Amino acid sequence: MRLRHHDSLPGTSFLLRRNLILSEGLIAAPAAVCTDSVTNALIVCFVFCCVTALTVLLGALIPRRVPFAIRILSYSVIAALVYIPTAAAADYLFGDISAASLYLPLLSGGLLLTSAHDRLFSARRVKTLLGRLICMLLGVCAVLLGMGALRELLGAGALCGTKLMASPLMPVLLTPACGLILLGVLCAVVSAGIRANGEECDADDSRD
Amino acid sequence: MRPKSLNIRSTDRALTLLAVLVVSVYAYGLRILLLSGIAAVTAMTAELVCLYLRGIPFRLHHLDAALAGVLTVMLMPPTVSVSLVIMSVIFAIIIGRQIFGGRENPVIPPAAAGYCFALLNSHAEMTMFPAEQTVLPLWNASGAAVSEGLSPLWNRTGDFPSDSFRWLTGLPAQPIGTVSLLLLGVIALVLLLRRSASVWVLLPMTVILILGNIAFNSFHNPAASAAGSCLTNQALFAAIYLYSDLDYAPPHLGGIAYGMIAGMLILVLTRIFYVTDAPVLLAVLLSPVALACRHVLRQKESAAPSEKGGDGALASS
Repeated sequence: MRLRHHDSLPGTSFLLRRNLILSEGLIAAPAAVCTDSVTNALIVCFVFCCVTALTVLLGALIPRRVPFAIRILSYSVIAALVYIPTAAAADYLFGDISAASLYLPLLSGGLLLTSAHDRLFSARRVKTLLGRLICMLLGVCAVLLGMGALRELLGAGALCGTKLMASPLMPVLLTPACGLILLGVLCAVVSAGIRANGEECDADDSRD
Repeated sequence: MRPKSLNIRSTDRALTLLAVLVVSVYAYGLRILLLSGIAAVTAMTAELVCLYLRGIPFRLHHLDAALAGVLTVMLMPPTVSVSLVIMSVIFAIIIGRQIFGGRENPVIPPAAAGYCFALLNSHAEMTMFPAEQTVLPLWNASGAAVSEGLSPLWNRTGDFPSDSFRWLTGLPAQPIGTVSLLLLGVIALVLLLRRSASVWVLLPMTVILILGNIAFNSFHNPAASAAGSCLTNQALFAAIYLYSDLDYAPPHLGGIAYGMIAGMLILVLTRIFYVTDAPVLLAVLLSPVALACRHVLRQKESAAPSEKGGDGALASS
């Protein structure tokens, strides 16, 4: 018998079962290309968390009676405006962000902050909205940092810039192609695990 | 004529690879046998694990995963490390074969995928070859004297050793599988006669490569140009085992077009853009195209009889 998953806290399904990267397939390009080291993964995490959190919180202030198209446009404008100081802060905190800078703007224009925003965040209680937001961000950061650590360790023989191995085992992991392959393998493993547990995807969001 | 069964074709290819293996072991020692054994075992282990995870029972035709593993090793230099062989074979089986549906749905040649992985992973190790055909140490051959292969020089200048005896018996500074022109020629002939390789692809591709390279060399020493076109960049080896593999090769006119296009692209990539081992790299890109072409041709063939009535006359519209 397939079990329906009931979250004890709102939004915990977004940690793994409905992880934005591994299950929903969002922000795949930055996840695959920019996570060739822990530092770059941290940069992506920082920008993603700041842009998403501020956009969701500010977007929650827009009334529901505003037409859908205007709301979507507003979310995009808010995300773009939030991105500017966030990118400046990332540049100040991390120094050189040129390795990831090509993909960072994608984080403010993805489906999560436009068309999916309404479905996931609108008309939710505050506790539900915050729970979902925090779990989403934690889930994404865990995947990004995990991929960054794995690729840097095996591809460069180092972790956070500290050399741990005399010679790297698989330098090919640092290439974007292998980043995509690794992401695909992780998605397959997670979806197989979810199926093996007999959990079904909760199409009805009302439980969270 | 009834098409040959999958198992018989795989057996033919395995036996020809065995001949290549014997000659390579004679040239470089038991290390080649060790690498091939490790590749075969790794490939079968990866295949069995993937079959178990997919819930598919093991069948006899799944044994050709070992063939894919050995083929991957044949594309590499004799001094390649054991760890690189293992990683490349695992990549070849999982990413090059199982992800697309395994034996039942071939999309890209697993050996070519494994070669690309190895080349990206360790470019230096994959592009340096033993300077002479000597017996190599069994486990660690990193101390052997190595040099750049014959292919880069051929691509840039068209220079090829003029010793015709060495063309037939084997040249140094070559990948494991590119042993000798005589052996590869006999293998091609045997596979063609046994209908285990596509004549539609192999012949046009080889002819285009040979004539094109003779023209590129301004018709100086055509014999050396013909030998060089076959033995450098693993061209003939790739033509036999990757391009004319009946799992990928389109039949009839489609195969001729595919062979000619592949030959011309290889010519441009090797002699104009100096891409070493372009035939192997191109196989990854062209095999899905060949499969699409084959699918279209088969649909047309199956649609053509259905337009006719039982007595062969065209049905009225």
